[in-house]
Amino acid sequence: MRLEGIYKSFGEEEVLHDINISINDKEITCILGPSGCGKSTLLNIIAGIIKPDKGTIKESKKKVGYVFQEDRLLPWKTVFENIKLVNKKASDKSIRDLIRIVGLEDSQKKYPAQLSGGMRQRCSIARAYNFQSEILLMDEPFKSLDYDLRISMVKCLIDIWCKLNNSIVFVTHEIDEAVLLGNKIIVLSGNPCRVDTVVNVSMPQQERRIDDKKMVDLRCRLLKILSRQ
Amino acid sequence: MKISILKNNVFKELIYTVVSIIAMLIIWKIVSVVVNKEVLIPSPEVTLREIIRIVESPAFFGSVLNTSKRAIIGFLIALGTGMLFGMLGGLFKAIYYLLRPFVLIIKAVPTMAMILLTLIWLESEKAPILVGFVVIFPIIYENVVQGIRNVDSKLVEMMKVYNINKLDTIKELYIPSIVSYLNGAMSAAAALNLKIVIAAEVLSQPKLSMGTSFQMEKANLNTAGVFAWSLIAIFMAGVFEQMLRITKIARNGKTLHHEQ
Ligand SMILES: Nc1ncnc2c1ncn2[C@@H]1O[C@H](COP(=O)(O)OP(=O)(O)OP(=O)(O)O)[C@@H](O)[C@H]1O
Ligand SMILES: [Mg+2]
Repeated sequence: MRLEGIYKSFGEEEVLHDINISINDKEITCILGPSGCGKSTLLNIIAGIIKPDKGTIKESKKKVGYVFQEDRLLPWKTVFENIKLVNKKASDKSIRDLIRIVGLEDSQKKYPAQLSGGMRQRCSIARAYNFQSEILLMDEPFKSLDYDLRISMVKCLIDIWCKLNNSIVFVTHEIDEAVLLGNKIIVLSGNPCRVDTVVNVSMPQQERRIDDKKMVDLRCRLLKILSRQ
Repeated sequence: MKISILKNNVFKELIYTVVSIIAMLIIWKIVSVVVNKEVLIPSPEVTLREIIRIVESPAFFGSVLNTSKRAIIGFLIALGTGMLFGMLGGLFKAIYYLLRPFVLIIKAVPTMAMILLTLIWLESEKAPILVGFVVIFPIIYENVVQGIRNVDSKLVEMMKVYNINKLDTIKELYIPSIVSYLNGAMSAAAALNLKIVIAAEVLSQPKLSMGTSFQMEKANLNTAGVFAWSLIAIFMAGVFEQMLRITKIARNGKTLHHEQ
């Protein structure tokens, strides 16, 4: 899938300026960038929710899963029902497995208002996994989770990705997440948003350790790019 | 813990209600003593005696039943059509504008004119149902339209992204949203509907009905009887409202948290 020359403005304000990105099949593409630079807008364009002013999307995917920046759960449905909603054919057992993976096994009968922000977020992640899409968009999915949970969610994501064998676009502010997950890491700069740097990482995700020399180097490099902005 | 809070609230509600009823009875008694004319303001005791007489009379049960039947039928028809057209009007601008003149006319026609017209068109047994329907349909319709417009657009987007079809979107998103939005309007409409049905019955004079009974008491200049029937009607409106509340609580077993 390729984005070519994407422009988007809201009123006078230009948000996206000539964005050219290719998202390879069966790879994880991480997107880093300052707050408000247009990352969510970019995902919305990929998902087809908003139309770009200019530019085209080549080889776009039909079945798109999306972990929105907000949880967007139905308030009158339980955790279990919310996850089931997007794929009615999924067996109850497979849904319970997903609930266990995101660590909500004690809350599957609860309603969104009875959950914490992080729990709601995990529910919306399980919902997206249940959809089994060709491409999965994730907008800061692990925000408001503690460090241990984050690391375990990153591991789960890698497992699920291997199983579903799909492509993932992962927006984050956490350099560690990008380093552990990305086959490709795209750094955006703000105002208006442009592609700053693209870093390819060849090491397979399963072998990556955050304290590995290569990963530490990559981390420093990304930090430098981000702080230069 | 939750249950004890709930009980406590119910208890408080009960106390306040009882206090206000007692205050009302005292004011009523004072006014009736001051006016001192049973034909104008009958005293609470006389009215109570009338209530007992009416309740014990053989026609009572049939009157209440017939009137309730009319009120419930009218209400259900208005609810069904109001939901259907309200959803169409809320979802499609074109339908909203096509329906708007009809709704405006229905709303603008004076209730009394409507009663007289339906009496010309329909037999006296059915006319009150139509009058009630005409009055509350626009209320339900407009609330549903508003409810649809207030559905969270982010949730609509979510349903679209996940390829959930139109029918399921209506079932899983639109209907639950408007139902929680409709609750207030529904109990108001139910009480209003009962009043309108009784008013229409006063004029249409079906064989056995509360409106007919009102008219009979008035013809006999039995003001206490009119008061007694009024209290019975108030009680019935209360029962209707409670019934709607029970359905709401039953549903809240599922959606409690959403409405908090
Ligand atoms: N619907 C909209 N109408 C007007 N302006 C918008 C709209 N959506 C986004 N914007 C503007 O576009 C810019 C980018 O927003 P966007 O949500 O894409 O940022 P982001 O990179 O996701 O930020 P964050 O990391 O804080 O989530 C912001 O300046 C915002 O004000
Ligand atoms: Mg964002």
